[in-house]
Amino acid sequence: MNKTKYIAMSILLVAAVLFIPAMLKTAAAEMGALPAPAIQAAGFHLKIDRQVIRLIQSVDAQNAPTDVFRRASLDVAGGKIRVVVEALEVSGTRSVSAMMVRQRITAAGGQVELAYENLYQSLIPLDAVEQVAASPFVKRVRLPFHPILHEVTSEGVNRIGADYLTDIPPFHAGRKVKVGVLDAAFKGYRSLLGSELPSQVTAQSFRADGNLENPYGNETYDVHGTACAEIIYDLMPDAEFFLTNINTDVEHHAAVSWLIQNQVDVISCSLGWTNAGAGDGTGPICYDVERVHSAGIFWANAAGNEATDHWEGTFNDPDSDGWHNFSGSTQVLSFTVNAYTPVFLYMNWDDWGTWTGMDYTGSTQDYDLYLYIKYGATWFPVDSSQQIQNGNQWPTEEIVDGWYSSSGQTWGVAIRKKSASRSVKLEIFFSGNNSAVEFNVPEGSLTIPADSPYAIAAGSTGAFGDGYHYYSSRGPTSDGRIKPDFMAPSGVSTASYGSLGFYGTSASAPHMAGVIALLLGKTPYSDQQILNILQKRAVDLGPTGPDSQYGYGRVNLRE
Amino acid sequence: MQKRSHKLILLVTGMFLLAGLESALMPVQPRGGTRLEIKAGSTGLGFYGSYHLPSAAQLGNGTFGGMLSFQLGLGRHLGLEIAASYSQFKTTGSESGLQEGSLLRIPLQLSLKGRLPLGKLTIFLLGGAHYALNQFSLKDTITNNWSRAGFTVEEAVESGLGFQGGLGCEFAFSRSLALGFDARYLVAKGEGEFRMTDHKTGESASGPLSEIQLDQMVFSLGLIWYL
Repeated sequence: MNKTKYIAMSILLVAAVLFIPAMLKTAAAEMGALPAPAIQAAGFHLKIDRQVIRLIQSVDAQNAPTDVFRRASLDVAGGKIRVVVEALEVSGTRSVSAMMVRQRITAAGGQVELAYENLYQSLIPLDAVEQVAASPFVKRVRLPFHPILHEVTSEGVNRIGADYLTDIPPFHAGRKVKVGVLDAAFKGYRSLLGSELPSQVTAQSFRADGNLENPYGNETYDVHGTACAEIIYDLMPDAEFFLTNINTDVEHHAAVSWLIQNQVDVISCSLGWTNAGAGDGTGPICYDVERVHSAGIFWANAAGNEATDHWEGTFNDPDSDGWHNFSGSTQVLSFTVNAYTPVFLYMNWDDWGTWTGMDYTGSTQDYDLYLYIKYGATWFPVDSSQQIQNGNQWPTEEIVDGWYSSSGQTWGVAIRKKSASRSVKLEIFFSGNNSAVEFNVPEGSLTIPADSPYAIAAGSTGAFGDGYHYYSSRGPTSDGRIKPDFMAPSGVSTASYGSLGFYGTSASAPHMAGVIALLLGKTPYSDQQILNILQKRAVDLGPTGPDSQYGYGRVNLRE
Repeated sequence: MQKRSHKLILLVTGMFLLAGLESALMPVQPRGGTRLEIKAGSTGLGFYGSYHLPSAAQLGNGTFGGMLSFQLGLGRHLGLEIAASYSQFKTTGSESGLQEGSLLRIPLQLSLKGRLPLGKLTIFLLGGAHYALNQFSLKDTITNNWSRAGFTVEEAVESGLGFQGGLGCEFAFSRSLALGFDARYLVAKGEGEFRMTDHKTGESASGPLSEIQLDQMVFSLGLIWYL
């Protein structure tokens, strides 16, 4: 009995010798480090970090932190605060400290979530933090440190001047804006939720295979929609997002109906179609845009990247051999293609008939398209498209078998009049060429539905300057309207494509959609007023006034 | 703030009770044997400090203000009061109503007072109508932020009619000086408008502000000089 008493007394003595100087030292050090008598006067213990005190003081009646502490709000929920309790650590006493700190946290109504060495990540009731800190075994109570999320913001946000508006609370906007992103694929979007995208989005694939994220198995294509959504989020982080992908015109109709049903306010589409309409705003794809417009929804579309991949002209056959002469006696238009790059050709002409709302009445002028490859000085025929046009068919020809060569080659196209009573105006879109096609005509190179009067078509300028991007498709439309409507930045940074890695009018369209969403979600302006503001604030580029290369100019929100 | 208003109510109630007690226990027979009582038909000027407690949360917490009154006696039991109170509320901001800012209210009140003299103490009921001058200013950070983006934002609360009713008491120190307390409830429906104007294009959008509730409870404590 005496021996036990002796041991107990010895332990107490040793503990006292070890703890008292350490406690005094800690207290003295902390008194010197906390120069905030006002807070101390409020009754908070010296060991509690100022950030914890400020956070507790900012909590409102609903136990929610005020906006000032939005970042710190990660650490307050349900009347408890997440803190790290640092136990006093003196050599050889960790187990005692651990036990005492745990006991104090539990007794105060808290719980230890995770312990590592002398650190106790705990949830503690707001009114019990001081009680925990009062323990002589507690050295410090602080907020947990949080990692910095390396967010990627498009340079276009600043270029447009939207950064002024993005952080301002709405002024009688009257709605939480909903944005639809219609694209090809959304690979990786889940991993960006809560950082580059909202924490929650609604996503649905309308592809037959239901593949939303990686239908192409190609990184460049698969992240395309995700990058577009990122840009819109940079501009309008308060928006609600609806993501949908398609691969066919039928899927397009279904996806558009879904977006209308979800009552989105603006749709961003960075897809383009060729041979899907007359280029005058009619056709099935443009009809979807018209449906969207009728529902009071904005549609922002990429103008297209086809300025150097486009030729158009009136059928010209001075030697009456039935073959079009592109220039002088030249009947084959040449273009160069890299090895293993597939060639796709789309030709149409101005004999669509009347658009009935469902279909065109059809063409009576029959023209055919021929593909050649050049070896030495000789053109060799590769393929042709010889659809019949006798009154019911669309005036289109396509060579889409994906011909390629194992070495870089010069390819050629030729046009033959098969059965026609007049010389039509033809246009050809090329895909696969590595530079501008011969006899290139940038004018009229818009892809569908950028030609729709109800679509806001966005062309491309730089992220740091207003230089025109050579590939950006130009108007006018086939019925003579000015397009694109605006220019917007591309060559911008996204998490999906990396630093300054997202080029093309595909990047411009979401900037356009984002700006519209921003004005819709922040201001009380009507749709028409928003268009007026965008037109009048745009930075005019090229010839004075709207033109078919730059539209109204580069979209701009700066005064 | 609520605690402060409770304290004020308790203080005023306590004074009221003390005054009543004193009045009941000590029927006043001052020098010359004349009963001390505010002279019927006399006019008076009142200077009050006031505490204004809005009924709607959007007007924020209670605020201190002031009130100036002119009273005209119409008989032993009847009087007319013209009063103007002043208060400035800090609005908390709502999506469709007033955003954050300050609302200055000056209700010009005309009230009929029913008075019951009880020696030094006079108890009264009042009721009447008022026309409130309202002036609303958006918080500077809101206007500045929008201004940097090239927009002017404004919100205005229209001045308008309302009604008030209440009760109170006056405790006479002498024939010309009394301590007055009253509690009155002012009912007023607020109407207002917001407007945003684009500097560059002149495009302007406006609309009515909804949910503006201007009712307030006013507690006043002050001195009245009877002329």
